[in-house]
Amino acid sequence: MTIEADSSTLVGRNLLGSRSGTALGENWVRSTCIICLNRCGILAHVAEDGGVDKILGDPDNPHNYGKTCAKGDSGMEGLRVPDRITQPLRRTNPEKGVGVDPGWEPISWEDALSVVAGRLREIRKENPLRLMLATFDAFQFRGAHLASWVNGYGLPGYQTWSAQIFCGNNVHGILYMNQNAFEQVPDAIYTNYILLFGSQFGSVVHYDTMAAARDLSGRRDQLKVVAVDPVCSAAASRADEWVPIRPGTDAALLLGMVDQLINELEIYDEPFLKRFTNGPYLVGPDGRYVREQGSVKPLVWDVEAGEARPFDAVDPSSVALRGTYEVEGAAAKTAFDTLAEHVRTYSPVYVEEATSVPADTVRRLAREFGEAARIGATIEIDGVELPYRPASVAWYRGLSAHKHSMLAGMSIILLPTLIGAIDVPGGSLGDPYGMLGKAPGRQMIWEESDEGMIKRSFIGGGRVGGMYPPREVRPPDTPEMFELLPVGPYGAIFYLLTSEKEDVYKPPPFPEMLIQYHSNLVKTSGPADVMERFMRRIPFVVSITRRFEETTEFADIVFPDLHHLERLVPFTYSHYSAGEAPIAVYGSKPAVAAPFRGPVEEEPYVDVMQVLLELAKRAGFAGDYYQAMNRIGGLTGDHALDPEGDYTYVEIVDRQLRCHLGDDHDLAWFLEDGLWTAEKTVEEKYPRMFRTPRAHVYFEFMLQAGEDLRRVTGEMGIPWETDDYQSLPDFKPCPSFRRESPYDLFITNMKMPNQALSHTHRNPLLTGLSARHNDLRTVWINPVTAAERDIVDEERVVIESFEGRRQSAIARVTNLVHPEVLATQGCGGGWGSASNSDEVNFNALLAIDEEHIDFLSGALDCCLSGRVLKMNGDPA
Amino acid sequence: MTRWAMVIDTARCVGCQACTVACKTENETPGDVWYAPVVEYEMGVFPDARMEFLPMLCNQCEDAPCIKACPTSALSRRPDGIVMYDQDSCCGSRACMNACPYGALHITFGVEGEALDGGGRTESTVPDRGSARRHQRGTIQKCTFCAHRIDYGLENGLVPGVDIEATPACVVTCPAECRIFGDLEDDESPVSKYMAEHAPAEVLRPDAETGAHVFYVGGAG
Repeated sequence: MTIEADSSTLVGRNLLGSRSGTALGENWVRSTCIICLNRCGILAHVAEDGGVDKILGDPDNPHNYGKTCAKGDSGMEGLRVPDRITQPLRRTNPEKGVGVDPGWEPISWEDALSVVAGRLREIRKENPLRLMLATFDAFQFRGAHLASWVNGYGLPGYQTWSAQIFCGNNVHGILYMNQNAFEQVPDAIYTNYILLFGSQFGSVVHYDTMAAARDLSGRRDQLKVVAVDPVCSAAASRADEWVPIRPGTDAALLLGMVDQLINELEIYDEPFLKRFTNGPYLVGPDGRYVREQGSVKPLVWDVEAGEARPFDAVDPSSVALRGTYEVEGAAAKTAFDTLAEHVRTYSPVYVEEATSVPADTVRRLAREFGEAARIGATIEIDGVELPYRPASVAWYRGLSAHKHSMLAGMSIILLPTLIGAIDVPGGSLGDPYGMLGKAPGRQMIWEESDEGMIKRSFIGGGRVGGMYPPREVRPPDTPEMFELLPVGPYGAIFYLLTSEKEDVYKPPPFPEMLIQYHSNLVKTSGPADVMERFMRRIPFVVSITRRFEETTEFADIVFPDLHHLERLVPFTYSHYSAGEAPIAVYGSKPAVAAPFRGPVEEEPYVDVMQVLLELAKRAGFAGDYYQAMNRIGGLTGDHALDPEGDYTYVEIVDRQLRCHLGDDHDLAWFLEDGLWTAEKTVEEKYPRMFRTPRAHVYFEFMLQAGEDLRRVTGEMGIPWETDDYQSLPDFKPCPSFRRESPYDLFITNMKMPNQALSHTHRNPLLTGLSARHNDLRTVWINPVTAAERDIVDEERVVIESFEGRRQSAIARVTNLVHPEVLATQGCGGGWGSASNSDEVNFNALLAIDEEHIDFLSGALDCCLSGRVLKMNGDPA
Repeated sequence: MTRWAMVIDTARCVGCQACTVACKTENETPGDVWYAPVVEYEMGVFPDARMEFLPMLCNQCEDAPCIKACPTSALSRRPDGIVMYDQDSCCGSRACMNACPYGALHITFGVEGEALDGGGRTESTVPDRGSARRHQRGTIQKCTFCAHRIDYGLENGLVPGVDIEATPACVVTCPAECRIFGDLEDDESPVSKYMAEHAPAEVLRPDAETGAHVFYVGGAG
C-alpha cells in the first residue's frame, strides 16, 4: 500500500489549524466546541503567549450562525490548569477505592503503551468481550473510529455509561422506529405549537440550541410553547405555559391526550395513518396481526373489495382505518381502533388523579395540539406541495429516566404520528445522520421490513439498538445483558445491577479491563459505594484524561488527554440543522499544540485515537481496525485502508475527508478552511412523503419479544421483568408514586443551561455563573411544602432518599417547583480534582435495584422517594 | 453626531448567560466582576410562576450620576455617549458605585491582571482590545459598550451593530438575538429600526432620570 506524498508530508507539520482566513483578521482558528454534543462551529483566538483568550461562534457556520452559549464562550478553560496531566502515570498502590491514594508515578509512553498493549493482546486471545471501552466522546467521526476500533478488537460496541442510563434510553429506539432517526427536534421555522415533555428545547439545553433560541425567540407571536415539567426550567419560563406535572407520570397525560384526540375530538390525519402507519393493519383477539397464510404479510381491510388483503396489495384510498371485520371466521379489528379503545381508560379525570394536571388542562392541551396541526393543510417547499402540520413535540431525560419509561416513550411518539406531523413541515424532524458523523452520503438508509415497517438501519457499527425489529433474544455475552434487551438501546445499568446481585442474575464474566476517557462513570453513573464495588471488580483500568477525575482514581495506567482546542477530528456529530437549515460539515482543528508529546514521538499529539491506534498496532489488531474502518467509516475505492498497511491517524483522517468530500477536500484543505456547506433538497429537508416504510401506532412486535424473553430467561433460570412488553402503552407509576410516610416527596434533578451535557463543574467562569444564578448547592422546595416543614429560604437542610442515602443542601424556597418535589440541579459534588465537593451530588441518592430500573430500555428511575430533614436530623 | 445605544428585547431572552460570559472573556474582568449579568427573578405563585430574565449592563447615561459623583474625574463621557473610566485617576472612593442606579460600576481587590486560567495573557491582537484588560485593584471598572471594538471597527471601515468585529461582545454571542446595538442618531441603524418596530421602548429606573441609553422592549423590566 502506497502512502500519498501529500499525506506523508503532513505528518511532519505541526497540524495546527490555519490562523487566518476569517474576516476577523489574524490568529483566529476555525474549530468546533465539544463541550456539549451540539458541536457548534467556533473561532478560537490564539493570544501572543500561545494560549487561547477568546472564543466566538463561527459566523460562516450555518449550524450556529456565529453564536455560542456560556459554555462555549468559556471553552478555553482547562487548557492551562495546574492539575493538568501531561505524561503517562502508573499506579503503585494496588489497593483501590474512593479516597485511596493511587501512588502515581511517571512512566514513559513506551512502557505505558507496552503494558497496556500486552494486556489487550492477552484478553483478546482469551475473550475480547472482557474488554470495556467507556467514553461519551463519540460524536464526531470519532464515533466511526471508536466503533471500528472495538469492532476490530472483537467487541460489538463501546459503552457511554451514564448516557446509557440517563439519556436517550427512550428517545433513540422510539425514533428509529417511527422516524428512522437517532434524534428529533421540532421544526422551529414552521411549527406553531411545541409540547415539551421533560425537555428544554428552545433554551440552550437540548439540540440545535443556537438555532432553536433564535427561531423560537423570533417567532414568539406566531407559536405557542407548552412545557410539561415538574420544575419551571429556563425553557418552561420562556414557554407560553408551564404545566407542572408529578414526576414520572408523563405517559398518563400523553395517553389522555391521545384519548381526547381520537375519541372526543376525532382529530387525526386519516390519509397519513392509512398510508404511513400500521393503523389499518388488522389485529386478532390475541393482539397479533392477522396475516396472510404463506406470505405472513399483515392484512388490511379493502373497503372496495370487501375483503382482507395484504397491506401492500391495497391502494391507501381503499384501506379501512377503523372498524372490526370478520376474517376467516374470527373478528379482526384495525390496529387504530384497538388503540382507540385502549386509551379510553385515560379519561381527563383519571389523568388528573395520576399527574396532578387538571382535567380541563388535559382536554385543552389535546384540543390545542390537534387544532394547531391543521390537518389537511399543505405548504409548498421548493416547488413541492407537502403536508403542513405545524404541531410538534420534544422530550428527553425528563420523560425517559424513570421506571416503565419505554411505555412513556411509546406514548409520546403517538402524538406526532396521529396528526401526521413526522418529517413534514412544521412537525417533528428526525436527524437523518445517525451518530457516526455528518458527511455527504452518510445519511440513514430507509429500509422496509417484510411487514412494511421502518426497519432500524445501521450505517456501520453503531451499537445503539432500535426497537424494531426486535433483536434476537439469547443468553447474554456480557454483564450489560444487552441480549436480554431486544427492544432497548443499551443497558449499562445492568453492569451495576448484576454486579450487586451476581447470584441472582448469573451474569457472564465481568470485564478484565476498562479503557476510559471522556466518561467519568464513577461520578456520573451511580452512588460512589456501588461504583466503587463495581470498579474493584475490574483488574486493569486505563484512564485517558486531562485532569484527575473520580474514575481516574481507580486507574492502573493514566494517559494524558487533549483539550478540545488541541485536537484534530473531522466531521461533527450532527446536528441535523433540521428542516430548511443547510448542511454544514466541519470539525475540530487544533488551535494550539498540546504542551506535551503523545504516543508517537515523531507525530504531534492531536487526538486520543492516536493512543488507541498505537495500542491496536502493538496488540496486533490494526488490520482488523482498518477493515472495520472501511466498513463503518465508509472508506471505499482508493480511499479504503489496506488491512496489511500501516497508517497514522492523520493519514486516516486525510482519507476520510477526501472520501466523503472529494479529493480536493483533503487534510490540507481541512486545516486551512475546514467548512463545507450545502443546501438540502426538499427530500432531505422533509423526507416522510418521499419514503414508503411505515411508522407504528400499534406495537405488535413487543408481544413476541416479551414471549421470547420469558422463554430464554426461564431457561437461564433468572428473574426478568417482561410485563411491559405490551402492544400498546400504559401509564405505570414509578415506585416513588406511592409517597409513603415518611418519604412522601419526590427527589429529582434537572439540567441547568450553563452546566448541562458536559463536564463544567471546575470551569471557573461557569461555576462563577452558577454561584450567582443557579447555586448547585441548593434544593428547590415549593413554599407550601417548605412552610409545612418549617423550612425557610437559604436554610441548610439534608435530603434523604428512602434508602437513607443523604446529601446536604441549601433550601431554595421557590414557586418554580411542584409541591411534591425536591429538585436538585445537575449532578455536582464528587471528590476528584475536577469536582466541586460542596455541590449536591444527586447520583449519590440513586437506587440501583429492580424496582428502579426499566428492564426494557435500561433507564434508571430519577424520581426517588425521599424527604427533607433539618440539619439536626429532625424530620422537617 | 453618533449616539451609541442598545435595545434589549426581554421577550426573546432565554436566560442562557452567553452574553455574561462573552463579556467576561472579552474584557477579562477579574474574579467576581461581571459587567453584563442577566438578572433572574421569579414572578407569580405556583403554578402560575416563572423566571424572568433581565440582561443588564452599563446604561451609558446622558446625565450620568457616576460622572457627577466622582471626586477625581476618573469617569468621563465621550461625544458618542460612552461613559469611560480611567483607573489611573480613580481614588477608590466608590462614590460612583453609590450613585449608579444600575449597579454597573465594579471594584475589585483581586490579583492585578488576573487571568481566567492562570495564563499570562497581557497583549491583545486583532481586534485590539487595548486597555480593556488592564485592571487595577481597588479602582473602578465598568462596561464601555466594548468601546475598543467600536473604535477598532470605525478605524477599519466597519459598522458597529452590523459588523461583528465592531459590535459589543454580548451582542455578538447572543443566540436569541435579544440585544441589538447601533447608532441612535441613525434611523437606519439596527437599534433605531428595532426600537421603531417594537415601540414603546422603556429604560430601567426611569425615576432616576439619567438619560439611560440601554432600552428595553418585550415587557419585563
